[in-house]
Amino acid sequence: MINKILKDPVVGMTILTLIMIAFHVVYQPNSLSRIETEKVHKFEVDIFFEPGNDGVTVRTFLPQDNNRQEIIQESINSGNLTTSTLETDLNRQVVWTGTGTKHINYNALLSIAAVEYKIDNNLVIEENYPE
Amino acid sequence: MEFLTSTDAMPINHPEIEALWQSIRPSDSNFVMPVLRSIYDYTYNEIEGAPFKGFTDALTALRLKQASCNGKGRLFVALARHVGIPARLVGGVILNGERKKTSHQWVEVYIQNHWVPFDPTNGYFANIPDYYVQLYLKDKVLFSHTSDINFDYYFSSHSERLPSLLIQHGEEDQQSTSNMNIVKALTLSGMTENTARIFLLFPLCTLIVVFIRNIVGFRTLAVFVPMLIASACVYTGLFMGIAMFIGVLFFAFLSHLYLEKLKLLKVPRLAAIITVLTMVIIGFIIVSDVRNPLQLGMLSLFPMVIISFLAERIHDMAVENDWMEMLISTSGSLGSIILCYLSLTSLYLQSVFAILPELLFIVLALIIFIGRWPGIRVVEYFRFRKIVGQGETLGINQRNINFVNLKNSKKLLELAIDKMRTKEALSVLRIPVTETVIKCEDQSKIEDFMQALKRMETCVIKPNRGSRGKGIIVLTGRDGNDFITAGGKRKTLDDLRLHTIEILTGAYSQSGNIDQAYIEPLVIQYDSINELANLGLADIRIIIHEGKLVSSMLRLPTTKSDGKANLHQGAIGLNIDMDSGKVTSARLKGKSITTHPDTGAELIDFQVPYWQEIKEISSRCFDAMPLGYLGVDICIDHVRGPLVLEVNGRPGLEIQNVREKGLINDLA
Repeated sequence: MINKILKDPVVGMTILTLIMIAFHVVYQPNSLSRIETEKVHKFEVDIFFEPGNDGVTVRTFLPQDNNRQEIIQESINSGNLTTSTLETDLNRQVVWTGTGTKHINYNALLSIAAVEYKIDNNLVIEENYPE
Repeated sequence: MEFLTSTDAMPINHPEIEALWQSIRPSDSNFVMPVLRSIYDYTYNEIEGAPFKGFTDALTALRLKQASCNGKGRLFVALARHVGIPARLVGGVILNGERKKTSHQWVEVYIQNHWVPFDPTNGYFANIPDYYVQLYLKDKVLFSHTSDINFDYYFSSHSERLPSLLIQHGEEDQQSTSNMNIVKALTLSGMTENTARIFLLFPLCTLIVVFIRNIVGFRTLAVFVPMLIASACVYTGLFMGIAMFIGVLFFAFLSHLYLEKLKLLKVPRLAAIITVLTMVIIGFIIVSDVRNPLQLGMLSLFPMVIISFLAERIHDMAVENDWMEMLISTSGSLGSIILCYLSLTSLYLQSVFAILPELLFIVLALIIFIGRWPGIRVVEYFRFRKIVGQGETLGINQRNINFVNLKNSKKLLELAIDKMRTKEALSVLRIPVTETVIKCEDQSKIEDFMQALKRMETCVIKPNRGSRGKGIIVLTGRDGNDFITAGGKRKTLDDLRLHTIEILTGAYSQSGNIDQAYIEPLVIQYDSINELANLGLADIRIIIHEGKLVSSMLRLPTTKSDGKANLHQGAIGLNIDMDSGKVTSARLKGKSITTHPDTGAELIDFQVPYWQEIKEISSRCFDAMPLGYLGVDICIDHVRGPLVLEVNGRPGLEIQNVREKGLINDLA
């Protein structure tokens, strides 16, 4: 009787699934805790222009990772233009130069955190700050 | 320190800045908190906000007592630096879902090794929300470019929630194996993440479709097309996707009706429909605001996929003018699309299946379970509402599982579909069948076929492998070279040649494969039945289970059924007492009647002629084609008597409503 029940594909597959879920729970307990969602922002910049014969130069600042925001994915479509990036600790400036393209598209998926600081009422203004 | 210095736009030692500071200076000005509160309160409350009008320095903001974000920010920074607190401007964009040109500036102040944000424009003190994206620090110009190039730009944004396991935070996270899941594994194989997430939920969508069809009982246009459309909706948006689906059906149906008048063959007609649709889609894309390449791809390609899958159904429904079927199937499809879309876009389902892909086995188990479930479908509770309480109702699931699949061999089912071979099989046992005048196996025989047709005064043209009366043309008279159909329409020989070619191409074939056409002489109905209804050919359906005659009904055509004996098209079903052959009750579209609505003839107690002979013929049909569960359709010719029209290996269930009693106990 039990053999007959186990040979039923519905019962067999259900038991197999339960065993595999149990395996997950025992050996990868952290993975189950990741069944949650996270808010992300899709950010897009579209730049339009009409370059003359001498070509065009366009500069702008694009997001950079910091303690509050993180770039999860990003892509730039700038056609035939040459792209160069000037990056410092503070900023990331991208420069496009060339001809033959009228549109630049920047696309990013960003994870950004809201932040809130508590400032101590007794905190005195410092005399010296690091350079 | 750099962030304590004076600049042209933020002259921190200017007398007016000093004078302002003295006017707002708190009593405890050695402490960070009251100083920043004072500066913030002044810039937020006393400097009136204004729309962006270009660069505004700190002094201009102070003098005008009005500024946009950049003026307020510079004044804040100038005051903070003036009192010795490092401060800097931050440039960025507020991600509020709008398409816009406006950027934003706020301020950061250095406090105990942290840069703390303040926004004196929107009222954030030592905090900032998650929709402020930072683009640059310090006093910068966001865009610079070559002059005279008609420069323009837009920011756009939208926020959404994604499964956290699918978001890879930094390189460490990307390389970690402890967070491995099936979606990541698929992306490593080259599949895009979006595609992987949708792909993983396809089996769940098939389960939804199976549930809707086999448990609920709704019909859909082509079985799994809703799943495909739902996946397209993930990229186009639900509203756009459904609009696209309905639009495709609408234009395809209209095109079909128009092109039918041109008397095109089926395949060129479908090709013409796709061409019309392409033109409509081109027009839509040009006038619409859709610019996303992926959306455009979906909008241009998916209508073609839809129409490719639905071409046959649209053809059938257009030919039959079956608006009700169109409406029911479209509603079922829309419901399926919405449910599949909600599943495909559910982040929790995406997460659960990514982490526990073994759940696909449960999905498979449920599909198998439903595939073997013989219960009554939800819609059948409504269809058989007057008899379902008796507990004897045979549902379509049980009919298929326990009778058709179990008791009817595939070989015999195939034989029953092939009407000419059925006739041959029945003729071996001398069972009377309708005569075949000529058959046309392929287009090389069509001239002989047409010559034979020219000689006929009345006849019936039939597809060999058709079903539910599709493709049958009943020619009841002639007017010169033309024929007149049972419905009163005129058909030229060219019309009939075209129709025959359509039959040969498989337009009415159950399998869609190439078919054969044949001509039968028109049956002149037995007088007493003709007196009941002279609008077309009536037939008698006998249900036989394992050789035992179980139930029978007489189907009478009406004006509403256009002379056809199909109950769903408006024919009357009359229950026949198996012993006496007398009519005991009659139903038309779910209602009990006693007289024919067109002829006024009394229906109850009508004695079916040749009843014993009909029963004997039916039994012999089982001997010739021993299908465990079959229906035999018999008409009564005024000269030859009962003739078998066809043997059906999957007889319908409406007979239960006609006899007001389920079939289960009779089939036990």
